[in-house]
This record gives sequence, structure tokens and C-alpha cells, in this order.
Amino acid sequence: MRRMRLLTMGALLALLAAAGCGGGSSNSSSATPSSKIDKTPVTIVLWDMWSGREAQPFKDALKRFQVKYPWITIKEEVQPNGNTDTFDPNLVNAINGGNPPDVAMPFGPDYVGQYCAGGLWEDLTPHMKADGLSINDFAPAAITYTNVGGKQCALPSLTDAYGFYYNKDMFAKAGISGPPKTMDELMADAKKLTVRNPDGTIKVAGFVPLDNWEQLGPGDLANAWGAKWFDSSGKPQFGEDPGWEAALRWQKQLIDWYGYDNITKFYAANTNNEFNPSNAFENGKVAMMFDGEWRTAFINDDKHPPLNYGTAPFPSASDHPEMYGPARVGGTIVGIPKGATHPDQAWLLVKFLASDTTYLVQMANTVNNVPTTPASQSSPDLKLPPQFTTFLHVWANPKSGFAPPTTPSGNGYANHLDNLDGEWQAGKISDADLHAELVKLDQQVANELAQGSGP
Amino acid sequence: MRRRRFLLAVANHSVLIGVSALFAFPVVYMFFTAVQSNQQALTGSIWPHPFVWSNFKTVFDEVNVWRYLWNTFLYAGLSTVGVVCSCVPVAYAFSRIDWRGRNVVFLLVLSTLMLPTQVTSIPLYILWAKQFHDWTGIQFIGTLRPLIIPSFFGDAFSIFLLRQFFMTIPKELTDAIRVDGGGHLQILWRVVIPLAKPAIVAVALFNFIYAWNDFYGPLVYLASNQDAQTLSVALSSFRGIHHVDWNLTMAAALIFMLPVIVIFFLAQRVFIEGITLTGVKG
Amino acid sequence: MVAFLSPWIFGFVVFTAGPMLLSLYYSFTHYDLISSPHWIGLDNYRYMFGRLTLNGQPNQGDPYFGTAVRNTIWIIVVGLPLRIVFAMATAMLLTRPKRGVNGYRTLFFMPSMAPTVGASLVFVYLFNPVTGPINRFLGHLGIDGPLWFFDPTWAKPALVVLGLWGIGDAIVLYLAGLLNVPRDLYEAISIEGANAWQRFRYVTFPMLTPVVFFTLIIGIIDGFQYFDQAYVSATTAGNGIGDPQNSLLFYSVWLYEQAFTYFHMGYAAAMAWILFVATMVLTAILLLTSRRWVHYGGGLS
Repeated sequence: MRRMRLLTMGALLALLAAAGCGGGSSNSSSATPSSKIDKTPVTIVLWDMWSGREAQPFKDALKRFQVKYPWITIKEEVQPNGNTDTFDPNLVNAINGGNPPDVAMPFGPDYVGQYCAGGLWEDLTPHMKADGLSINDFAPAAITYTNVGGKQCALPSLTDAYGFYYNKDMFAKAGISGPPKTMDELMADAKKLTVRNPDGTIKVAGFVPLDNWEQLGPGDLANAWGAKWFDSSGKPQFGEDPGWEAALRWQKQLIDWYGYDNITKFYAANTNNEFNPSNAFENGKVAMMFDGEWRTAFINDDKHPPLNYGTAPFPSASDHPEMYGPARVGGTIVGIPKGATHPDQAWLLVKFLASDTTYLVQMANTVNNVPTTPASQSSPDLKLPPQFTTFLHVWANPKSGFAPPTTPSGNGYANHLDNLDGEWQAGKISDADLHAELVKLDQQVANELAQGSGP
Repeated sequence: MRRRRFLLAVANHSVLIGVSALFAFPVVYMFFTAVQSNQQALTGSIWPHPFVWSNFKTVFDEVNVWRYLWNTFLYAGLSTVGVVCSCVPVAYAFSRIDWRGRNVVFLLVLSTLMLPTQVTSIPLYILWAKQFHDWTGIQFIGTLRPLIIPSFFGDAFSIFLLRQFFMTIPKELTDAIRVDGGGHLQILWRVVIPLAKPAIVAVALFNFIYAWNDFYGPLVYLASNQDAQTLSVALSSFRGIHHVDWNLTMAAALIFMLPVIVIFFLAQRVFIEGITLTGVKG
Repeated sequence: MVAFLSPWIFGFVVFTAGPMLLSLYYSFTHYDLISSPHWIGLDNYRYMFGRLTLNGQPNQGDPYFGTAVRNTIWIIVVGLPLRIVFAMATAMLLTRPKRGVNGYRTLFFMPSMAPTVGASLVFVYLFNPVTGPINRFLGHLGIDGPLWFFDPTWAKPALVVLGLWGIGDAIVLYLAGLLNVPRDLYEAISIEGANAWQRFRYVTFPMLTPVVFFTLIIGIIDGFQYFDQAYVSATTAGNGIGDPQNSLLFYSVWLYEQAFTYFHMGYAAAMAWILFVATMVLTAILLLTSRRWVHYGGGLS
């Protein structure tokens, strides 16, 4: 008891000593408040991926930062944004090689497990405390993809949120009054709204249930049943939680109704158009879909036949009404890599990109992402279509979170689930074997993570 | 007789035209996609409605092509010089000099091609970032140096190729120099290099193209200095956070291929003429 | 002799040997690129072959190692012979005409210079089972085309076609080899009244064997490391690497995933070294048996 008190005293003294030292590099227990940060001119390096028509709006936003902090020059290194993620591996290389940027801004949090738990990014807590900022200031879901292993190493900067899109005209024509709220209703509506060609192929699909159709994944379907990925001790739940099996069976039922070959051909014909104006939903080829908030902007800007659409939360299972509302969220994060030359000034930029209302509003208007702070959400300058409100609610919902859940070894383990779903969809796994395969999946994922964490 | 020769020529050309059409078709396809609007790209209708010729200009507007072009020429040119200068003597040692253990060491040379780069790329990066920097004080990361410098120390693919060609040179020709009292350097300079000119030009061409197309090397070493980036990386993606410009991607790919195609077209004369002369000599 | 070899020796010691040996060391460790490597002995190799006890369960192994090996062997056994045959045949075609050869040669060579990402994207598009020209053309012939990149049975054949499209560099080599054949050999054999096949079998092919040997070895080495086209087409057409249903999960693709998505760098290194040993054994065998069938003109073979 006495020993503990001595230790606490010692820690307190250390804290006071560190605080007394004033400006300079942050140690693990405290940091300089923003107002007191050193004002000698410095250049900080930022890695991001804003290119093409998004390059200039972002540069304009950085100019505003420059005006606010004139002694800080930002050297922006725009990383290539390709088919696959090369930003994060290059960043890890740079950190391990001793020449990291001061601020990193990847478009997705897939590596946040390694960054936070592995210590590759600085823990931002001291900086946040010194400036009175908390992760809960953003939304309950923010912590699910910025904090791993108890380390808050990243902050969100605009985000994606996912929900349900439906074609109101098609609904009216088929006599359906409103968007489906349960998965049973979704299946029934999908069948009603499907139009087939004379030769049996699909002309208009009610709802495409295939894995990787646009943004849909098996996790999103299973979310309707509130299925958990892991239990509290980190054990995979694919075989234990009945939601997974229910979701996969629901999916197969609809696929079989279409005919696997038919729906695959439809998928093949339209999958290239997810991100261009020939998109299937925008052109009336699909009646309902699961998609992200940016689609509202595309619908506004692209040229397509008139589309009368609505958005709503994605349906939930009839015995899980509490899952009507929350969905997958997550997106761009910002943080300070370990070994950054100017971490204090880097923090100023991180804070700006995460919480500066004007920045968030301007970029939200440009790229149509969800603004992540309450202040930016209620800003009168926000120019987002009315259908966008659904996504603001999804972001604010306390049950929403990033999926697949990040672990200290990343979230690559989800590939195994996609593999299983691929085989299940194609009929390579029989009805009777599904449960056994899900239990095997538990083992595979557990092995993958056990190999990762190690002794 | 003349008629027969004419028909034969027509037959040859028809087959060649047919095969060429097959080879050219995907490139023609890339071209049509490159001049389509984003609405139409990759949708299934091949003929552009409308023809968006400005896509090529847009590529130049969005990407500083000239600067990256210069970087790429620098990389490709210097590394080609390095490879040719270093690989010719090495290949000579493996083909025209007989020494014990030659096959074993040659296997060692080939072995450097056999280990997937995914596992050597990171230790190599750390070497350039830390050890080499500490020993020499030179900054390597963020420059083209880690890509160019090793090419001056041999490349297994080129060594192998040159070795194959050097081995076809008749012994009698080199023996002639020997009789006159010349050493290996003389043989190399006066017999082997002139006779193997087409192979050397081929090696130069392949290395130039390899460096031109090299994507992962520049991607990794120039991440921290995008100003020094090469064209292969700069033209690789026309994506935003939520959209993809397939038409610009294809336009950029064509712009990227063009200089090399021109170089090949011009270089092949040198290359082929060299071979034909050798063939006639026997 | 050493003087001639010195550039390579220096390069090998400084740039190559270090990383190679380091990766061998990694293969006996658990290394996640974040903390230092941690020695675990043969466990990575045990996991590879399904002999490791994990979480108290014995005989746990990599579920996809066998798939990766099978896919890789398939693409080499099917793709490489086709590549050699087509390159040789096309090169022979190119020796015939007198005019316009430069143009044809450039046309054949051009595809092999297309950036692999762009080329793979184009092929995924061309082979699209509904909107792509290949199936539309087959449709005109009355054939119901397969689903290509969306069907596990047809995805690899589509990649083989992509590979054949890019044989321009091999064509150039075979052309060089063909033009290198001394004309008097052809004259000699024609005098004896040989026909086209005999000319090929007794003069052309033997003289081409150095080039065949080269393309065979390089083809095997490259085939074992086949990555770009498979990775791009699987991630574009499908759900992710290996799609559809792991038919495009090649050895190097799986290795890349292990290294950069799962951060199992030690295991990836173990996979790399197994690949290395396999390639080395195969190459050594080919090199040692090459004397029997490869004819060099006059060097010391």
C-alpha cells in the first residue's frame, strides 16, 4: 500500500516535471497545449491521396491551415491511389526506415490495428487531453476504428456510412408503400420488383445479394441479425452466433430464386460500373441496394434517366428490431507516425483535419462524405441532398461501428469469410454442411490471429 | 514461278495480318476506351459516343507528365548503361572462360532471380534507409539511386541472356586472337562484342523497357518524394476517394506506352540488321 | 577471370546476399514488421505443411497452401509450353515476308510493353461474360461463352490468353535466334533434298535450343513468381485476391497477402524459401541435363 503511494507520488512528480519543461517533443504522459506550441518556422510532411479533381479543393483547405498557422509549411506528398492499398505498406516501410511523414492520412483504417497496438503511430491521448478533445466528441462509433489495444492513435476525418437505397418509382408501380424494415420484407420486395427478360435473364434486379456487389458483404447481411464477429475474449463467433448462418441462408435463398448463373451474369455485366455514371441503380437496373453516403452525390451529378429515390436504414431481421438503424461506418483517418520530426506541429494539422468545422464542411461538400463532428453536421453551409440525412443518423447510432473489427493483426482475416461465402453462393457447400464450415471458419480465423499475435 | 511467289507472299501476309489483328485488338480497345466519356467507359459499347479527345489533355492537366517523363528517362537510361557495362564482362566469364565451379557460380547468379521480391524488398529498403545511409552519408530514400546503382553491378537476367548468345560464337574466331598472343580483354573487345552486338542491343532494349515499366521499385523508394516519381507510378491511377476514371486510366496507359513503342520501332533496325549480318557470315 | 566477375560479386554481396540471408532468418521467426523478429524455429514450416499445434489443436495448417501450389503449377505447365510454341511459330512467320516486317514486329511487341495493371484491366473487360467482345463474338457463332473471370474453371485459361498476348519479348528473342542460324546449314540440307519439317527438325530447332533453354528457365522462374496479372484481375473482377473461389490464388499472391495483409512476414519468408528451393532444384536439373539437348555454336558448353 505504501509502495503504491510512493510510486504514485513519483509518477505525479514526473508529470509535473515534464509539464514544467514546456514546449518540445511529447513524452508518453503529457503534451503541450496547442496555444503554447513553439512558433519557430518548420516544414511538416503530409502523406495523403487527394488527386485528380479532389487535389485542388484539398490544397485550398491546406492553405486555410497555413493562414491559421503561418509558421508551419506543409509539404504534401500525394501517394498513388491504385486498385490495391500501397499507401499503408509504404508508410510502414518509411516508419521502420526512420523517415516517416509527420502526418499520415490514409483513406481507410485497415491498418489501424498495427498502427495503434503496434505503436507505429503515436498515441494521441496526451495531445487530446492538453487541448480538451475527446474521441467521444465525434460519435460513439468513432472509437471503433481509431483506437485499438487501448491506444488512441488516430482521429477520424470525414467518414463513410452505409445504408439502404430504393427506387421510389418502382416501389409505387409495384404497390409497395415504403422501404422494407425486415429481411423478410426485403426478400419479398426483391422478388416483386425483379423483371426478367423473355429468355430468363435478369433485366431489372430487385436486390442483388451477392458478396461484393458494390459495397455489400456477408458481414453487412449478418449485421441485420446483430451477429457478432468475436466474443469478449477475442474468439471468432461465425459458428457460435446464429446470425451468420441465418444471414447466409437468407442470401442463398434469394440467389437460388434468381438462379446462380443468372445473377452472376447480371453481376458481371454491371460490376464495372459501380463508380461511373452507368451505375446499375442510377440507371434503373436495380431497385434496391446497400451503399454508402457518396451515392447521393453521384445521383445528383451523374447523367442518367430521372431517378426518384429514397434512403433508409438497411433492414434488420424481424427478431432483431434493435439492429434497424446501425450499420457499418468508417473512413479516412489521420495520425502521427512514430518518429515524426515535428510531432507538436503535426498535432495541429491532425486536429485541423479532424475537427476544423470549415474544413470538414468544405470537403464534405466536395467529396460527399459524412462530416464527423456535431458542429460540422449542423453547419448551415453543408450542401448535401435531403437523402443524406439517413447517413448522419447511421453515423450517430451507438451500435454502428467499423467492420470487420480491427485487431492488432489487422483485418485481413475477413478474407476467409469472403472465401466461404464465395463457395456457399456457388453451391460448393451444401445446406447440411454450412454449420460445420462456419465452425471450421472459426478455427481458420483463430489460427490466423494466433499466428499473428504470437508469444 | 512469279505467280507462285506472289501467292505465297499473299498467304504469308494474310496470316501475319490476322495474327497482328489479334495482338492489336486489345490495344485498339484501350484506345477506344481512352476517348470515351466516363459515362461510357467499360460499359460494353465500344464505339465512343461522343469522342472525347480531350481525355489525353486531361491526363496532362492532372499529372505533371513532363517532369515524370524526365525522371523515367533518367532512370531507364542510366540503368541501361549500367546493365550493359557490367553484364558483358560477367557473361563473358561464364561463357568464354573455362574455370572450375563455373556452373555452380552460374547457378548462384540465377538464384538471385528465384527469391520472390516480396520478402527481400523490405530488408533491402531498410538497408538503403539505414545502413547505406549511415556508412556513406548519402540520402538514398526518396531518390532514384537505390534503383539505378545496383544496375551497375550486374543483373542475372541479362547475364543469362548474354551468356547464351556468347556461347554460340565459334571457338575458331577466339582462338585466332589467342594465337596472336591476345588476352581475354582483347578477345572480348575485338571478337565477342562485335559479333554479339544484336544480343547486346537486345539486352539494352529489354532493360530500358523493364526500367520504364518498373512500378514497384519507384513506388516504394519514391513514396516520400513524389517529385522524383516515375511515369509508371504517376500514370497508374485516376481514382478519387469514391470514383474511378477508367477512360483516363486507359488514356494514360497509352501515353505511357508510346515512347517505348517508338524507341522499339527505331531500335529494331539496328538489332535485326546486326543479326542478319552475323547469319550470313556463318 | 575474377576481374571480369567483380561487378557481379560486389553487387551480390552488397545488395543481394544480405537481404536473402536476412529473409532466411525471418523464416525461422515470427515477425510482424512492427516489433523485432522472435525466434520460433521450424514452426512456420510446420504450419505450412499442416503439422503445427495451435491453440491446443494439433495438425493446424495453412488452409490455402496446397491451393496456391496447385494453381501455380497449373499456370506453368499449361502456359509455358504454349508461350514457347507460339513465340517460335510467330517468329518463324516473321522471317518470311520481305516488306513491312518492321511494322508487324512492332505490333507483336507492343502488347508486352503495356503496363501490367492496364493490360489486366483491359482483359478483364474484354472477357466480361456479358458486355465483353469475346463472349459477344462467341455468341454470334452460337456458342454460349463461359463466365471467364467470374467462374473458377475459366479464370486461369483467361489469364493464359493474357499471357499469350504478351509474348512479344519472347518473339524478339526467337527472331534473333532464327536470324542467327547460319544460312549455309540450310543450303547444305536442301541439297540433300530435305522438306520443311526436316529443315526445322535438323537445322532450325537445334540452332534455337539456346533460346529455348533461356525461355524455359526464365519462364519457370517467372511462373513461380506469377503475381501482377493474377492480383489485378482478381481484385478487379472479383472480391479480392484469388477470386473467384481461390482459382487465382497463386503462390506469390498468397505470399504477398501473408506478408502485407496479415503481417506474417516470417511465414511469408518461409514460403519464399520453399519456393526458392523448388526453383533451384528444377533449374539445376535443367542446367545439368542441358548438355544433352542444347547445341551451342562454338562456345564452351
